[in-house]
Amino acid sequence: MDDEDRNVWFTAVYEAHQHEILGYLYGLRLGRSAEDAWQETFLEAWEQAHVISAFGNVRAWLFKVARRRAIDELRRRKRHAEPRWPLPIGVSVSDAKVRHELEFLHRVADYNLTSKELEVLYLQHVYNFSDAEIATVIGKSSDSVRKYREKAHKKIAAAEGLETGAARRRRLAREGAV
Amino acid sequence: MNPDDEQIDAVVRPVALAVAAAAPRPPGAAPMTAAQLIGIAVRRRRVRRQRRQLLAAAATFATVLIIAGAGVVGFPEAQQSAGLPGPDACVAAAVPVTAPAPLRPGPAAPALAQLATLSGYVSTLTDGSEVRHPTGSAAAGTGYAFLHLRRWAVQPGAATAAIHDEQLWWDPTRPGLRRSCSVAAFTATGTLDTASAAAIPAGGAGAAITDPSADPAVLAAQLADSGPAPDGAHVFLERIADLYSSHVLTPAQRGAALRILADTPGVQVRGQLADRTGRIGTAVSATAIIGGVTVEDVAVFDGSGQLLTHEQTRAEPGAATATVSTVLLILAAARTPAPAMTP
Repeated sequence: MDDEDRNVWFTAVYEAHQHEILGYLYGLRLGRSAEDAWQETFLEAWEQAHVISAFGNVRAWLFKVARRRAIDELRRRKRHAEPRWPLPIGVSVSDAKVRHELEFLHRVADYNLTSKELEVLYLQHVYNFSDAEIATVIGKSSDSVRKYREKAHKKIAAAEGLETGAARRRRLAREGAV
Repeated sequence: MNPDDEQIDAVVRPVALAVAAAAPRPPGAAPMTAAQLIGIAVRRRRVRRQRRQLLAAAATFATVLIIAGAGVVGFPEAQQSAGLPGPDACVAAAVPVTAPAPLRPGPAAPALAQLATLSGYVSTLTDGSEVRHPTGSAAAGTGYAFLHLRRWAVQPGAATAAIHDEQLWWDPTRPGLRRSCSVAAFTATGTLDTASAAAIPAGGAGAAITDPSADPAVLAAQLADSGPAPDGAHVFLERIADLYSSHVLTPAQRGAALRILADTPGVQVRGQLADRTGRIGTAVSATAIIGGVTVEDVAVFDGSGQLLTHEQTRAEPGAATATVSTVLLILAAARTPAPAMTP
């Protein structure tokens, strides 16, 4: 890929994803550092244009790089090794103060989900990513993503008095056996 | 999706959207235009290239100093650990003393179909299926990872090569062992100049990629992240060779590496080729012109996706023939029950 092709490709990618990536980074509660992470994300996209364009899903790649940049930023601040997504930096799901102050998180906190489980659900529901895309973004296998989601579903089902698909299959099998 | 899981999604989705809606919003316009970003990226690349050229010059100078000095000084005795198997087991004596001639791969063909097929096949293999090491190996996933590597390095214009032969055994939880022999200054008989055996810490001697993925997309990202931003197919070939020389890869990981090569524009298949020990495999190459010098990377993979050899040749502008600059031979990649054992 020569520089002219690279610039054309980059401009198209920039136009398509600039706002979404910025929104995602602000959502990680990086504050003004979100803009630095955003800039580094797109600079890396330009540098690795031949890799990203050859290996498929540009959007997932951008999210992956943005997420990594966010983690770098958080490590730099030395508050957490990973972003306490999607909570404000410096608090965790089990933080009692958060439970009271942030009403909209109250319900999520009650599910007692791990950071990864929350992230998988967030990427699925807010950004409509598939398992394979989430796997690219968070650097895990599709199988791991599926497991995170299943665990999350199990916890939510328990909290809400619902039944997961897997639990339903087990129950029906039991009843059939009886 | 199962109706029950849809019910759960119906609970989660509004919560997730509420979280997203409550997140701090960006201030509106993006901080920079595409043109401004491109300007910064181009400037950074220029600075990085200058820095790389400086480092290369410094490394060449240091290598010359080491080669000049090692024949006299050798490695200090302190580096050789007492109680470890001695260097007599090293096997670098058979190396040639002259700079090797380049391998001669066949005509180039597009890589995608052939490598994709090989990648698909390799991914179906099970651990321990390498045809070169069928006996004596520890079971897959157990014991020590073992690599036997031999490298040649030739300075531009030199008639002889520096040779380094290395055997490594490592394990994530226990100390491992490194045996090495170096022929830095050649004698008429190619006598070993230096040899050592030393313990290496649990977890290995350090690799650029600590946990290579078996997913081609993830592995490609790991390779891309393992150094400066790659600017051509030859960089991937080089980094994949590094990967093979620092890990005993599983079939799935080897399949992923081959898939990356299949999908990388500029990688070509060069037919069947024998390496310097006579082992035959599929030759893969990538060429780049760096500072006017044509640099060609050639790698040979056997039928199990194992890298047998990787070498780099250089052709100066106007030169009729290319000369070898580096050769890597992977003589063994296996697992053994204990250090100092060979498959």
